[in-house]
Amino acid sequence: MIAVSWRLCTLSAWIVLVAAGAPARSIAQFTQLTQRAPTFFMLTGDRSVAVDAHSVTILLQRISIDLDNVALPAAIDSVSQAAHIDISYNTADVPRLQRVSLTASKITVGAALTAILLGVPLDVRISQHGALSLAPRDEGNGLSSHRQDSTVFRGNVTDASTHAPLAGAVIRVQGSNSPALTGPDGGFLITINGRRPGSYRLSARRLGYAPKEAIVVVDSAPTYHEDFALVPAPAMLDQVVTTVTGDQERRAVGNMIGTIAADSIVDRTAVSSVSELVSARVPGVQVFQDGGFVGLSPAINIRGQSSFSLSNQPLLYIDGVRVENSTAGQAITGQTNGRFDDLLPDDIESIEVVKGPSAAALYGTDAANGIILVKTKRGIPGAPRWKLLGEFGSTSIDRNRFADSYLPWGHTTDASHTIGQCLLSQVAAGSCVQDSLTHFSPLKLASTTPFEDGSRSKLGGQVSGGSSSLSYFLSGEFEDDLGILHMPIADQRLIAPELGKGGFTSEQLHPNAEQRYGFRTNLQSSLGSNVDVAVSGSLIAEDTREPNFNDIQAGLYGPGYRDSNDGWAGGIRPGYLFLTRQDEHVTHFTASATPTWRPFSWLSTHGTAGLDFSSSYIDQLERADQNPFDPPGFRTNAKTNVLLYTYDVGATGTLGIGSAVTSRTSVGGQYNRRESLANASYATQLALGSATTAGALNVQGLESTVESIVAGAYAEEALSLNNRLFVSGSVRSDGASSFGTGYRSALYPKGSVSWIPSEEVFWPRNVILNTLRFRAAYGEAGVEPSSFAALAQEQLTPALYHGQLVTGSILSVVGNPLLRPERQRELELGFDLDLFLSRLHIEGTYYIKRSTDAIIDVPLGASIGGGSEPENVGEVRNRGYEALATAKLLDAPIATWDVSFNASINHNTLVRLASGIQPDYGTGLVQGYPVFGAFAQPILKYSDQSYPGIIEASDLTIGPTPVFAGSTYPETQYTIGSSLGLFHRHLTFSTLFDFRGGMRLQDLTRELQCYTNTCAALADPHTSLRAQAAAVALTNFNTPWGYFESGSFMRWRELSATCELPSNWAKLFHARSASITVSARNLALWTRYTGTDPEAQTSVGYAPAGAYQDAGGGLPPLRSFIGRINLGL
Amino acid sequence: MRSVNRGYPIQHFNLASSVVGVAILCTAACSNLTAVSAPDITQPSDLDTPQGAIARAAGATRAFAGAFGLQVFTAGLISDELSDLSGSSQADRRKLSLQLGEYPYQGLSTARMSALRAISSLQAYQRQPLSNIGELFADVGIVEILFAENMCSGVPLGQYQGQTPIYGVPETRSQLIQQGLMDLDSAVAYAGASDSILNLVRVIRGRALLDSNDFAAAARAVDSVPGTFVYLVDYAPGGGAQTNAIAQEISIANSATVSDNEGLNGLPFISGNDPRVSVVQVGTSASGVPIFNYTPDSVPASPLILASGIEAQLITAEADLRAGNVQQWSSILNSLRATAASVPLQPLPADSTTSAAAELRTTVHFRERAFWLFLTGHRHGDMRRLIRQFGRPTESVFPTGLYEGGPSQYGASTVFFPVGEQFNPHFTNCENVSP
Repeated sequence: MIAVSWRLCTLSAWIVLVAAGAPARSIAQFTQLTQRAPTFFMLTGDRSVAVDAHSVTILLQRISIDLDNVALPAAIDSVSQAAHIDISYNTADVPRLQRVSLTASKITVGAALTAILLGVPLDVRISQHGALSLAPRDEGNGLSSHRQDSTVFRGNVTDASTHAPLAGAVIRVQGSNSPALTGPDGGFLITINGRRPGSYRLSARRLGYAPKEAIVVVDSAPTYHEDFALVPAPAMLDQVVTTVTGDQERRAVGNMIGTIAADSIVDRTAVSSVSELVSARVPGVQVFQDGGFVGLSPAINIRGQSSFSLSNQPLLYIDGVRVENSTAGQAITGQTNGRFDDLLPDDIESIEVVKGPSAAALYGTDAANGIILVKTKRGIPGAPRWKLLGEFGSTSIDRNRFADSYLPWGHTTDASHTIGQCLLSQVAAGSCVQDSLTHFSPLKLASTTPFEDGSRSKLGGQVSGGSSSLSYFLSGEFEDDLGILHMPIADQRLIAPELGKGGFTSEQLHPNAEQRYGFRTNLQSSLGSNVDVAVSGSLIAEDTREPNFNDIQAGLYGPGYRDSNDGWAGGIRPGYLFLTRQDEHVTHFTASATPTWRPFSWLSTHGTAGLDFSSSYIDQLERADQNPFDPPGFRTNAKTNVLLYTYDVGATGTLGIGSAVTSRTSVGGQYNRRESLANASYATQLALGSATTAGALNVQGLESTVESIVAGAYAEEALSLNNRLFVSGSVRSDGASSFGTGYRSALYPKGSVSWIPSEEVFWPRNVILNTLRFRAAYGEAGVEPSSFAALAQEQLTPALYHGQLVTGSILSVVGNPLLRPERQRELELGFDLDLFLSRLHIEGTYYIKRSTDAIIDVPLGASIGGGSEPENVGEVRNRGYEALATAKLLDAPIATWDVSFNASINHNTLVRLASGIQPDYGTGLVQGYPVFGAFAQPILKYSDQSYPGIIEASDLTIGPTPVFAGSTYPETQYTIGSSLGLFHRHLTFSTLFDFRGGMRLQDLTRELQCYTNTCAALADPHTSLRAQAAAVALTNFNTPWGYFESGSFMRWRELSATCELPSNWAKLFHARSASITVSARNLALWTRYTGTDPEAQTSVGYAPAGAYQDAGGGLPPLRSFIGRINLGL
Repeated sequence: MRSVNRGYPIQHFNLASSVVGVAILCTAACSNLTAVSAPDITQPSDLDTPQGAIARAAGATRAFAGAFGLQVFTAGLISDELSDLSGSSQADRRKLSLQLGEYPYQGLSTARMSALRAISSLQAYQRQPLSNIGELFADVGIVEILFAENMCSGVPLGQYQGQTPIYGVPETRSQLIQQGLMDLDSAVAYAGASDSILNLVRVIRGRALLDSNDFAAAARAVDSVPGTFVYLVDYAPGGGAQTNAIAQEISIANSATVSDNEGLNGLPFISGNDPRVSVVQVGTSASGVPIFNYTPDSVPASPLILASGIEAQLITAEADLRAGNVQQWSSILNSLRATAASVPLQPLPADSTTSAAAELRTTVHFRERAFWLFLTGHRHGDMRRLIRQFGRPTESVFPTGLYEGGPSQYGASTVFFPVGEQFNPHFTNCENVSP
């Protein structure tokens, strides 16, 4: 019974209701019953048309009904009375002896009639006036004269392994331009005009499942039923992917496009952000989480670094609209803010990753770094379906990973025997003798640490429904994320008396937190048989408190013991710094309208108009008397508004040429405009008691307006031969506002070939090798520089001139009028392989990407004023391999076990610099090496010669010039994921491991300690000679060589368990379904890196200072334990 | 488009090529489609006006003031005037290289190039008063002489060709001084009746000639400078204008302090209780070290002294010392001590002047310069002159021994390097790093 109930709880509502009256019926019986469900016909004049019950208002009326084994006529009358609708019928047509049971609250009339008429040969007619009548099915409802008007296909789509209904599956009838979506119960209905006998091909597709087709033979009957049981398959050739020219089957696209089925991940892993959703799920995509602070935005790179001076971030499109996702360092807090995560993961249906120019060429200038395409959830026709969700959990870090500061105590060797710091170098010099060694970190001790467990909670709701002519999806969510920073207990005791009666505010006690509200509305409307319009709008409001990461930096190089300042360097207690207000308020609004018009069966047109508006307000205040270590105080009041306008039109014509060849021709144009408007005031030396810039002694204002436009048009021709060989060629022409006077337009070509030999006639069919595809693609795309990079610019500043404050000007930017966009060319080769009845799927890809006009901010010699000038002088090459393997190791009703593995290897090389461009070892601009590579003067040799056990400067041999130490970006990434489903997946476990390797991290934390004489290597005689050599080389020869370490690591990224509760348990919440997920992130770390954490970053992925390095003060990623409950109503 | 579509089945491929052609023409020709506004971008041509010329002159003056303040600060670190408290100053450790340089070489270069550009602009659009041009030429000359005093030999000087900056070739110390003197000549030519500029040029010329071992000429150059002359570099209290770097780094940032007997050879600028170096404690370092600032530089609007009549008299005295006119030399020093300090100082005893050995006289003379010219950007150049012109060993002049901030010994650097110049194709390395 339990097993049956579990199955039932995942079926659609009306099935459940019927089943409640006959719990012993098997699923198979129910399926048979649904095949005999009534058809609803709308009478218009002398015509009748089969309609979807979800599209008729009168049938959407909700009633409550309780029928227990009553006769069918009485049941019909009960529905009539409950709905206050006349339902007429001929008593002779209604089997009086048939009895039915139905207990339901707020069920629709349509569903009620469907339930009680199951298996009864009656259909339902709806008059223009809203009256219902029942007519025998065999007589065509008495409308025989109109039977030829339409043909109806209906059925249900279920998961083949769990038998659960699949909502949102796309059903197409070959030859029809209007696909249908399955409703929440998995049901679908497609009506096509006319009745032409013959064979019709129906297909059902849904992301995450292998598509399925069926042939339906149409004769004289008006209605045909076909069910689809889809087999889960994460990546298949027949899935549909998004392209500029419209949705296409993956088999027709010669590129590798990464796909993330977000809706099935979010519910089961409780990811907290889009970046977590993207991280480690697509080969070649690297997400650099920006440490453990709350409210930050990560950098994302796809297939390596191509640009030295421009962004390496991919573009972000949501439902066809370009959305602001820039990431930038926040100067004062030292952290990186950005707009990438301004999207609720629960709203996302799927994410596609277009990786490089070979795929992104038609997106034109700006698209060379790849594109992340997000599809949000759409409304599913039917009665309103509610989903409520709640998440609660905690976050933490391992504070023991922070390094101690050291203090060697000793006495001088002179007569005074003065006691004080006695470093190894002083011991070796004979000036002191060490007596003892202390080490301490205020970051670790319970009473002084600024860390405690944080908390995370989320409450949200979604509703979806509507009819086939207008469907909707609405969602709202509230998130509250309290970071792990808190005011240390010792600091509270110290500072509280100074604050007087008011005491601490919550913000001061917990200086890192974020609250977020999000709302989304998606509407789809059919304006006739060949016009659809999708309208969407979303609003995100975020309030974030962002501490300065320097607030905790003083804990890394304190005196080495708990002194009167509790071990904080210079007495810079975080408590005083936490008194500062450092807030960011963000409003992010996106709206779009996407009409689709299919004027002919062979022509489809589409358009998109979108607006994305993001507003960031930085609000910082440190009062004049608030921080004894920064007594003048400061005030920042900075607002930045960014508007992105997207206009996109296109048309695609499809033509069959003979029986084997299909031609698909697309043309279109895009216009993207970005406006950034910033206003800011910065004040220091505030007036006592003031909370504004008023009265401040030093006030500076900033106003900035930056606009950029890319406008382009494209054309693509794609040919398909027997649906097995696909060849396409396209070109895009772009104009852009950013470039110099010499630039007019850029042409970006693209071509691809996809061939599936395993579907050729000559290919032997066997159970081992099921599908084999070869693909190749070549494409070019660009990246535009900042809008005014080509222009010489004067910098206007206040200047004191002859005693008067006047406007002064100096040449700030030399400019380069010959500047062109960066141009990337990419060749991609790959294969897809399905083995063992598609239980094993393998994809392999090789790519080589060249950025031949790479723009480099060529530093200008200091003697002409310094600065830099953008020039197209670099050539950067990224080449690598990507692999994806998914295996279904177990596929039985009682248990399923899926394993996925993806890998990427990227080799980055700065191939060429134009003559005259000198290598820049500081930022890693050296020909023949990876961009942003690490360089330093090497320690060639060290030997313990001068003083036993102590390395001195004279013991070192340092190389005269910097040499390559390693790449600062991971060259390899492997992720392993596994999912175990039990009891028809009602209980699932999933996990994910993330490995990154091949990079060298610079341990700036220990460097900082050594520069302040608090590192162990300068103090502890038991430190290894190697470590001593590193410290001595740093402090005497200014080379960080010894602090470059392998940063390879493996992190246990995710572990989660999800239980679908039995339906009778769900009813306790008045829900039709309920699930509980327990999820953990960042559970364990394996690494040889000795610094704080290989992911404790403060700035990664951003050009030009893009080094992946452990900057002192960065926090490791947070470990989180989250519980989540989903209720379906 | 409709006519094209009607023929779709036949003109299938023509459609694509037509659209591409239209697209190319459109994106190439319809430039207004991608036209954007740039309301806060000022292009050079916008300033080709009389007002623009003044703005460029003011900008150059601001750049000079900012860079000069940092010059005084960093030269104070490498000498014995200031000590770093941030733990990161390579100048204070005397460990400098082409990769690590803290000297405001770029700032001074920007000031010089901005002045040259402003001169062209004033000459073209706002010639009057001519003294504005003379003042900028003086700034250019001063920067070149500061390079000669503080940096290795082989510093390049940029030039303008129209509006385009072009790289210069490395110049020796002597060439830098000669270039500086030529620009000072230009300053005089434009100075007109501006005594302020003329006296500034005289003192700087004397300073440059001292650097060139031409002591007699140096004395002649400053002969007419009044003893009360002071040329100040002005700073503003706020509003985004230039501020005093000493006040910023010491009083506000607490990153440095006035030194006291730094590195064995350093002078007792604090413990000496000399009224010429009036100090005030402005804070305490993390390790409990009191932070002292030079009183005249205690607030961001405090002006810095660029040249003065006192310096002129010290130049004259040095010329007398080199010429063997010991009595005259001693007389000048004692006269200054009696009249120029805020509190009259005792005359120097005979055993350190007239009856002292030559070596001691030199020491006394440079000690007097160090106190009179404290934090005016002279001390580092004077230390180098002690080595170069008077044959003192480096380790007897600069701070030496165990670095105060630990953990290592002071380095051997005595010069700053033109960091950032590696992008100049004419520059390979310093030609000479000796003092």
